[in-house]
Parts: sequence; C-alpha cells; structure tokens
Amino acid sequence: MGKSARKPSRTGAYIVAGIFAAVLIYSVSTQNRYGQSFVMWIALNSLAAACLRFVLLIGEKNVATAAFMGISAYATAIVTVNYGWPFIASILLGSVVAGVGSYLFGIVSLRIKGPYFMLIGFSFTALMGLIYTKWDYVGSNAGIVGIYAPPYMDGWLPALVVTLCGAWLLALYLCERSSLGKLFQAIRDNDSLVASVGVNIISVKILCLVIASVAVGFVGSLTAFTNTIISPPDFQFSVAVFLLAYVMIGGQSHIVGSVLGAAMLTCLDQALQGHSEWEQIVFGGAIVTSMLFAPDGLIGLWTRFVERLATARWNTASSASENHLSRGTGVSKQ
Amino acid sequence: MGLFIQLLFNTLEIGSVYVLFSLGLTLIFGTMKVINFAHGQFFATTALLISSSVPMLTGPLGWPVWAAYIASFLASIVLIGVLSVGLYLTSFYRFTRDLLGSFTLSLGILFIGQGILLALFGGAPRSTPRLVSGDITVLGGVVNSQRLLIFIVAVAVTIGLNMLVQRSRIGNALRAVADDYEAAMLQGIRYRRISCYGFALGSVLAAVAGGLIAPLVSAAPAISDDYLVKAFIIVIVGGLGSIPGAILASFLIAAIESFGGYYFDLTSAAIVSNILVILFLLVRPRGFMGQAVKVV
Repeated sequence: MGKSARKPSRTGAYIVAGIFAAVLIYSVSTQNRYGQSFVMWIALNSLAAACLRFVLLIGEKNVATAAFMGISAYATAIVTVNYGWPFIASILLGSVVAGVGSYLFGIVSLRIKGPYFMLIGFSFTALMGLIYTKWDYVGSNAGIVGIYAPPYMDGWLPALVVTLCGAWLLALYLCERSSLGKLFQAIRDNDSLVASVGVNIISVKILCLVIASVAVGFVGSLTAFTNTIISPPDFQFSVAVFLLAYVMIGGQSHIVGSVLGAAMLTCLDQALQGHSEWEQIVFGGAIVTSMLFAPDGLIGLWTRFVERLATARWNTASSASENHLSRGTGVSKQ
Repeated sequence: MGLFIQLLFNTLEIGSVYVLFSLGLTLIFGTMKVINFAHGQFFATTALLISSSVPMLTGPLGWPVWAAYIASFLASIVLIGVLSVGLYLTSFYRFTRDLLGSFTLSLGILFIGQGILLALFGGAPRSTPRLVSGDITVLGGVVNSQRLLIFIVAVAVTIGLNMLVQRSRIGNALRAVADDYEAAMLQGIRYRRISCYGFALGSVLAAVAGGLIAPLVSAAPAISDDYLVKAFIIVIVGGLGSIPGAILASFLIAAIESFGGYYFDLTSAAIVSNILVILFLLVRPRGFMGQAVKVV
C-alpha cells in the first residue's frame, strides 16, 4: 500500500496553510531587504525542487530543470530589458518559452530512460550554458543586468513570489494526487503494463515534463526579477544538482519534502556564508549525514516516527486485551 | 602536414590523461551502477599532494626531483586507495545500484572534499617541477618531453589495467558483476567485496591521472570540476562500463578539443562535444561499445 494511497491528513493541511500564511504575512510586513530576499529564495528554491520532483513521478531524474529555468529567465530578461514588456507579460512569456522548449526537448529525449536521460539533461544544460557564454546578444559571460520589477510592485514583490510559488506548489500537489498523477506513477513503476492498456506513454511523459517546466519557468522569470542580474553560471547543472539534494534530503515521497529540503539547505547555506571552506564542509556533511541516516529524507523520518507511535499504541492495546482474555476465559495460549 | 602532426600529438597527450580519469569512472559505473560525482576529488587530491610534497622533499631534504616525485606519487596512491576503501565501506556500499541516492551522496562528499582541499591547500594554484624538460621533434611535430612521458605511462597503465580486467580472477569477477550481478553472486562471487575493489581501483586510476598531470598544470582544488564534466561526456560516448569505449571516446574528445580548439576556440569545441553526447544518447545510448544496459 503506497503512500499515495493514504488519505491526506487534515491536520497536515492546516499546518501547511498556517505556515504559508505566516510566511506571506512576513513577506508583506518586513522592511528588511535581506529578509525579503531570503523569503523569495526559499520560495523559489522550493518550487524548483518540487518541479524536479514532479518529473521524478514518471521515474526520470530531470537535470534539464536548470536549463529550462535558464531559458525562461533569459527570455524574461530580454523582453523586459530590451523591449520593455510589461511585468506580467514577461513572466508569462518566460513560462511559455520554457514549456515550448521542454516540449521539444521531451519529444526528442523522453524515449530514453534512466541514467541516460539524466545525462542528456546534464549535457543539454551544459550546452545551453555554453551557448549563453558565446552569444553576445544575451551578454555572453556578463549576462543581463537591470531586470527590475515595475515601481508599482515596490515592496510587493516578495509577497507575489511567495503567493505564486505557493499556488504552483498546490497545483503540483493536486495534480500528483489526481488520476493523472497516478498515471505518472504507474508509468514509473511499470511502463509496459501501462502501455498494454492503450496509453501513449511518450505523450504522457511529455505532458509531465511540460507541466514541470512551465512551473519552473515561473521560477526562472521570478529569479530574474529577484536578482535583477542573470548570467550563465546561475543556470549550470550544479543548480539542478542542488535541487536534487533538496528533494532527497527533504524526502522524495511528498511534495512538502521538497519545500523542507529547500528551506533547510537554503538556511544552512546562508548561515555558513563567508566561512568559505567550512561552508562547503558543513553543507556536504549535512547532505552525507542525511543520505546515510535518513535516506527517505525528513519526511521519511517523520513518517517512521508516526508509525512507531502508532505501533506502540497498538502494542499496548493488544497486550492489554490479551491479558484480559487469558485471565477471563481460561483459554490457554499454546 | 606539420600542423596536423602537431595537433595529433596534442590529442594523444590530452587524451592519455582523459583516459585514466574516465577509466576509473566507467569502471565504477560498470561494477556498481553508481555515478560517483566526487571522482574528481581523488584526482585533485593527488595533484595537490604531489605539488606540495615534492618541493618539500627536494628543497630542505635535498632529494633528486625524480625520487621525490615517485615517492610522493606512490604515497598518494596508497592514501587514495585506503581513503576510497574507507569511503566505500562507510557510505557507498549502501547505495550500490541506487543511482539517485549515490549521486546525492557523492555530491555531499564532493563538497566535503572541496572544503577540505581548500582548507589544507588554499585556492591558489601550485606547480610541480617537471621530471624531464625540453622538447623532442618527432615526425615534424614538436612534442614536449614531459607530455611524452605522461603518454607512455598512461599507455602502460591502460595496458596493465586491460590485462588485469581480461586475464586475472579479479578482472573476471569485475566483468561478471558488471554483466549480471545476481548471476555472479550465484557463482559465489562476493558482490560487496568486488564492488569495493572496483571502487578502489577506479579511484586509484583517477589518482594516477592526477599524479601524472601535476607537473603539467597548476594544481588547484578547482581542477576537479573541469575534468569531471569532460569525463562524464567521455564515459557516455564510450559507453558506461566499457573500457575500450572509454579509451576511444577519450581520444575522440581530445581530438575535438585539440583540432576544434585550434581552428575555432575551446568553447565551440565544448559545444560540439556536448552536442555529440546528446546525439549519442538519443541514437545509441550505450555509446560506442557499451553493453546494452537494461535500465532498471
């Protein structure tokens, strides 16, 4: 009985809603520049990690997530800086471009599975990075600067980012729990079986990739506005590797895991800023420790904890009733 | 013609180091079905160790360069061997055949390794004195003697490795495990032990590559990344798990870099390499000579 078969807990939903509300209130009320950026980073990282995880539902490790984030960011940056497009339109354009790009990518590469698909994504991301560095129109190595949100967004950008990310996370979650989501997971588990029922596997896989990429397109566009500068190193494959780490450490079995992993590691990264070597050692240590002691991530730890509580209750309950029985009816236990 | 010969020699020189580096990676993938992202750390560690100990030995202790070099080389190899076995026993063995888990784990190890190297050696590049100096002119192309030495050693190591894998019992076990680990276990091959040997062997190969390159380039903790990316490309094109494939692909990629780098520039050459990889993955995922790996 898989985890997806369990009914989502209502308490869990309330806790998540509560945390979201708290974060939203913080993002609107805080004047602290750093706090604003911090909240936006966590939100964007969480959504990006969730997008990577979404493609994990069909069983593919999509390293190209970083590439689509970059495509969207560059598209948004170009139309904003060079053509003066309005804010909302440029964000939407970014996502559309990422979606279209992922569609083309998917048609070509989703026939390939497993480590090979992962390596295609890896090469594709490296390729896009190299193209950016050689292409003067997008600023080659220096990238694009001056991507500002319009003045009416002053002070509201963090709230917008948090809201959009939250909305997308909810959408991805609902999609995962829907029949479509079940279809994705069926493909992951045994695609020949699904094909034998008459489903066009490639089309469904492409759909999954496109959904995830449109979402990550939002991340890319918003990143452009959040950082106001983008350059090729921002979208290297190492970004995707970090996202993977967020997912694994948070726990890949639930979307909340991606958020937890992203939040925890972003905080850790920020806390270690400026200590150079120690930053890397502690960060790496956190990842290694998680993998060794909590391979199912934080979600896994939580689940095991809850199960152990439930088992303990069951044990005490049943042993109480056994005592009662054997004393009462004189039935001997063989 | 002279230019062609020159570029050809460059290819052989560059390629021989790539061969050693990627052989290790492909060996590890073949036996354990694991991608070790931190493979470059063994490479960089050896290079840095040698570049720091050789000046110490030749300076105050007055050893001749070649003796200092060989001594530190051997010491580093042994250290890396022990380190990799330790790494396997404590962490990697739990993630054999788990692509995602091992990838993430090796990412963590990569960070720790980078941090330790930075702390111990600092970010600045260091150089090692060359063993032999001067150039030799062969067939109209100029070959640097040091690079020629590296090429010869690399060829020797590759031949030795090939003999090990093809003829010895351990080699047979490694190949058996790469083909079908369950059948190998049924035959009495101890999978965990063989994986450990495979991992150690692959890592030591990376260390050898690092040791050979120390006199040539300025060793710094950052060199692991450049080589790692190229090694991934080589391993895919050659076929994950295939030794002859890795050798062929190393020289192919080196040729692209050498000729492409001369006629165009290095970035374009890298673009071509990446496109090549993508094409290979789409058309023939198992690379030149990889096994038709059933993706579990």
